[in-house]
Amino acid sequence: MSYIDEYAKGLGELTAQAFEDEVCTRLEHVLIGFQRVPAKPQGDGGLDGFSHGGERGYCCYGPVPNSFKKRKELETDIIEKFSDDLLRLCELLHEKKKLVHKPNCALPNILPSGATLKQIVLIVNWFESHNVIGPLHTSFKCFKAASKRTFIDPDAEIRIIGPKEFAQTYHADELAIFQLRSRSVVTKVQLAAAILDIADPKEFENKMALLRDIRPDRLLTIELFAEQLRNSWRTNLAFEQELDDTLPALHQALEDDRRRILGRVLQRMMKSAEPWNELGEMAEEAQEVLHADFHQYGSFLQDLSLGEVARLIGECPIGWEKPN
Amino acid sequence: METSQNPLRLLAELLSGRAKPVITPERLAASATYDLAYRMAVTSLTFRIHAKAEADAPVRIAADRLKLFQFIAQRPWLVATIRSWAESRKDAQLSMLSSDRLRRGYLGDVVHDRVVSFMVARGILAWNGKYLVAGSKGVFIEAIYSEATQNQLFTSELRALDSLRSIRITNEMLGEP
Repeated sequence: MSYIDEYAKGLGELTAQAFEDEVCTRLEHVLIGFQRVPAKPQGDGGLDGFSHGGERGYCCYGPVPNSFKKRKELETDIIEKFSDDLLRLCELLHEKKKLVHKPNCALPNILPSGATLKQIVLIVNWFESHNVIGPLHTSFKCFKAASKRTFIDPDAEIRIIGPKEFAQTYHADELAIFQLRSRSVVTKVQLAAAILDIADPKEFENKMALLRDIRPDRLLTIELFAEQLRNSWRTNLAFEQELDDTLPALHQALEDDRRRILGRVLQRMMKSAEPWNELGEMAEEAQEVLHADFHQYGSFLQDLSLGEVARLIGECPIGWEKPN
Repeated sequence: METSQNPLRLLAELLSGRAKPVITPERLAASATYDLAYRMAVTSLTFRIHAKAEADAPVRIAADRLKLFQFIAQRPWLVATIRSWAESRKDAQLSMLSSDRLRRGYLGDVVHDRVVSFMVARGILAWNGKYLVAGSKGVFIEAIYSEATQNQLFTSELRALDSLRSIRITNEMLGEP
């Protein structure tokens, strides 16, 4: 499989935020001056990013193709999502079947002063139907005509591209594939963790029961805390399974790292006069160990390292009892 | 990691001055993937169930087939993956898409290669070209199989190995000419 095909396949498997993140990361690598637009908390004004001094805009959409029963439904969804973005860029709103002006308060703070978009690239994770092309181009023509064009050039055009076109246009190479694989692993792990059952949570639940007994004044806090640890533990287990199924060499690295983490954690707790104070630092300690082999997973390491310590609590090495 | 993101700091605060730590490192089990006895047992079961006698040759199994099957035996959830791979093999592109993760997984299973080397060195298995056959101490394989079936051990692994009987794994899928 060529780099282009492999990258396109991997990109097509990403959805929602993971898809947008990958697209923006790739654009940052290949386009000097690409500017990402954070969606939260103020909104992105309809743009996920821009380049060329604000003359080229980018909108991403990564629906979950399997969640649509019919191809037509998926096509309609893509058309609706991008139409909504284009309406916002043209400062318009559908009202009683008419297009009316609605100021876009975000764009003046996003685009450089005086810049107007000459091209808008609509990037979607599924582009296997020509049925989305015509309606979007037609809609944009109408939107442009109805718009005050504060942020849109009169000759602006749109371009719809899918994973393959994206890979071809933005030069997918080995590095891009490596990064995409890492992102793809994270996405798969998060999905798997959501439905994974911890095989034997008895020890962990006993410890939480004892904690509630020790601190009856903090029951709600303990409940939230326990749930967070369970989630991180599940993520950790799902990550281990993903590596075991598909990347055995990295699984071995994880196993070695786990041994190192356990060693460091025990060393800290045993030699400290106040072992509980050490506990708070353990996730950082675990993250430091995991970073050497798993730095490509970026901020996901935080969840993994917390999950590793949760595992140590759940599978026994770290426990507590009431003082005599 | 900020305090608000780190529940361990919260746990430390909850326990501090109110509980004694209990450390029991010996209770943390290592992954079975690196347990030689477990891997030898699964490899033996795979050999026992899927090795075949052909013509005048001794009972044998292609090394690649053994590697793939024992990999799936340890991960029964992959039976569905290999089934769809086998079913899509007439479509080169679809076959590639449905198999790349599985192939990357089992081909990277270097622990299996070391286990086979150990079993060959111990005389349990022996090389016969690209095939593996029972060695001078091949009785170990039958003993493991009897023990497992009589005492209902390795049930999920045996079930996965049994499921593989109904899936046609071609030499082409194993990368053989």
